[in-house]
Amino acid sequence: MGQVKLDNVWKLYGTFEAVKGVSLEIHDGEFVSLLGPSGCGKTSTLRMVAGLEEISRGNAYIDAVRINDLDPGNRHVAMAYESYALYPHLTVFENVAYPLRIRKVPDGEITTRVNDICASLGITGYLNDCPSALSGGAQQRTGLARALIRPASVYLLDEVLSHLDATERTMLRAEIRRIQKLMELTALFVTHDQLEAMAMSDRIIVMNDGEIQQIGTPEEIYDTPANLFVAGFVGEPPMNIISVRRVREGGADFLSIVDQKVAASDLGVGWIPDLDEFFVGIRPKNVTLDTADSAAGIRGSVHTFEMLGDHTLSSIDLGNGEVVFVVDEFDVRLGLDDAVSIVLEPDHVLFYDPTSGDLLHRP
Amino acid sequence: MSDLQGKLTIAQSERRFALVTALPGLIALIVLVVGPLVYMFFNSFFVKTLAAPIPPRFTWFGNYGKVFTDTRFWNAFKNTMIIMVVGIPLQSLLGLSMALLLSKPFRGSRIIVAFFLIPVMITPIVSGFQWKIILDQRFGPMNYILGMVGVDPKAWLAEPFLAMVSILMMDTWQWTPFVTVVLLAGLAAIPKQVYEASSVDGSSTWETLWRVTMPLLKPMFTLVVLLRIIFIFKIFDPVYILTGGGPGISTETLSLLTYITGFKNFNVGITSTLAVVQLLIMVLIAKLFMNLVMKKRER
Repeated sequence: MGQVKLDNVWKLYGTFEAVKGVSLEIHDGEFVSLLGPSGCGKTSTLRMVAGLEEISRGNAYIDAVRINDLDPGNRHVAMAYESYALYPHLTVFENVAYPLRIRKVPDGEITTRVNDICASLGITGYLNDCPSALSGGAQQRTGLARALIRPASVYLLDEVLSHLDATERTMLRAEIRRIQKLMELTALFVTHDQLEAMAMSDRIIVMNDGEIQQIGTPEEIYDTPANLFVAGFVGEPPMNIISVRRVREGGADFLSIVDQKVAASDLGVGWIPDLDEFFVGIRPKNVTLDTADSAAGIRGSVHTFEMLGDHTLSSIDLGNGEVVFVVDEFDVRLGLDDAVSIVLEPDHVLFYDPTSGDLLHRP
Repeated sequence: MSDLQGKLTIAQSERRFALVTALPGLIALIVLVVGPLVYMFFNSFFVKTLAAPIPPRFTWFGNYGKVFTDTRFWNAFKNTMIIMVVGIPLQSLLGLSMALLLSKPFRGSRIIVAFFLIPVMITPIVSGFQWKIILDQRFGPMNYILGMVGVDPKAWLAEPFLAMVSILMMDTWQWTPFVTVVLLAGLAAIPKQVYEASSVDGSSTWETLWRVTMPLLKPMFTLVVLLRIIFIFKIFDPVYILTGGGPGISTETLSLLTYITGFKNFNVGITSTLAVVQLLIMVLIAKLFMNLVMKKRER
């Protein structure tokens, strides 16, 4: 069993509020990511679950037991660390065996279990080496093996992929997910990399400024970001956020984007918020380009154009510094300053409140 | 012909630079260390004294024979070993516990560390006289304080056993802070995350100390013990000032015996022999110790 529950948890460092009233639940066998920029409180939250930081206010539960006052060793958690935190004086074998030695597991069983977990993480060749002799990837695999060798209610992974090179990161990312699925482990993973969070998680918790911004599946987070922060943080390139004014003329609604007026009905979205000003959010892949002179849509000029293998990325200047990113087919070729029109796919247009930054839901 | 012809290669210019920078040190080493050392070995093969106008006489290993059959030499050897065998573990243990105490910073811990260094910084001869006053049989604070808890006054420096205890006390007072400071540096070098990993892995404080802290402190411990072996071989001030090797020769150490032979009796031949013997013993002990440490590490 592995369940984690945080109930209005705060972390204060002096007067600085690092974590402000976070409440969340992680269910048995679930892989949950805490995603956010550095300093957003995600690592503090994880360390409070581990017991490495005191919980300033609120309650934390693992398997329905309140853990606020328990030692890290008594919380039934296992952890892997950003900078590996291996025991420098011990070999890979002894590093991985360490939690078992502490638990006085018989030698024979230790050997079997260490060999098993090291095989599944691909570090069997390093068993007799000391950590300093290993690459970053092998060190992190050792760190993960040390965490996974023993049963725990929840496995805490603190930025475990951050220090690895790109290839190693992609490989290990998939392997961690595979092991977690196969062994049905409950995991809480901290990362600042939205791609990692997307790729690995059952659910993502986006944090900023000590507060939870959104909790949802990767699809929910990607398709309907709950506010402008999430919209800007998740996705690469990030979601386009376009400032829009609403104008009523002759009984019809018009949207004023920079200095261009577009009939609301032309946008095809069916509903627009009842506000004078708001933001339109749209993913770059949901914007289409039209180079024909007569094309309807919002007019602009090509600011930058990049070919990225299987697709192209262009930024379109609508004037006044309003730039829209567009991801398009590979066979499109644009020259700088070419005049183009952009069309937003109606189904994917989102509206955000300009003051709160929150998503405005269609009725 | 190109300008590049005849220029120094990288290796050549590096070698030239190395030679120029190392030369002053090399000259100093030859004049101040190698020269006297060779002269000392040379002298140890001669019957040679400054106390009488007798010309030096070559004696092969005669001086060595004399030294090794001299009970006074073995007495001094025994005393030096006692200080080493009792002093080093005592100072290591005290130094370790103080380092552990001071390793977690608390209010005023920096000031305490600074105060700690005082015994190391005071000129040994000054602290020697301080201890002589402290241990004075009639007027010393030591007996006064012991008197308050009902202990009779002790003749600290006049009884062979207590005289040795006194020397050990002063040596420990003087050198424990050094051990503490070196071990503190060692403790500071252990990453905090390793301790965190250990606590999440379920170790108790004791297990962490034995399984993580101590093994990681080992290089520092090795350094401290090695230095202390060398320092104790040279121990002079506490012995010279507190007891003068007495009562009798009960606290005489090798260094004091060498000093007396050389500068009281002016026997150059025997003094050189004693110095050579000490050098060899010291190298031997250090080598044995390092072998022990290295062997354990390999395992």
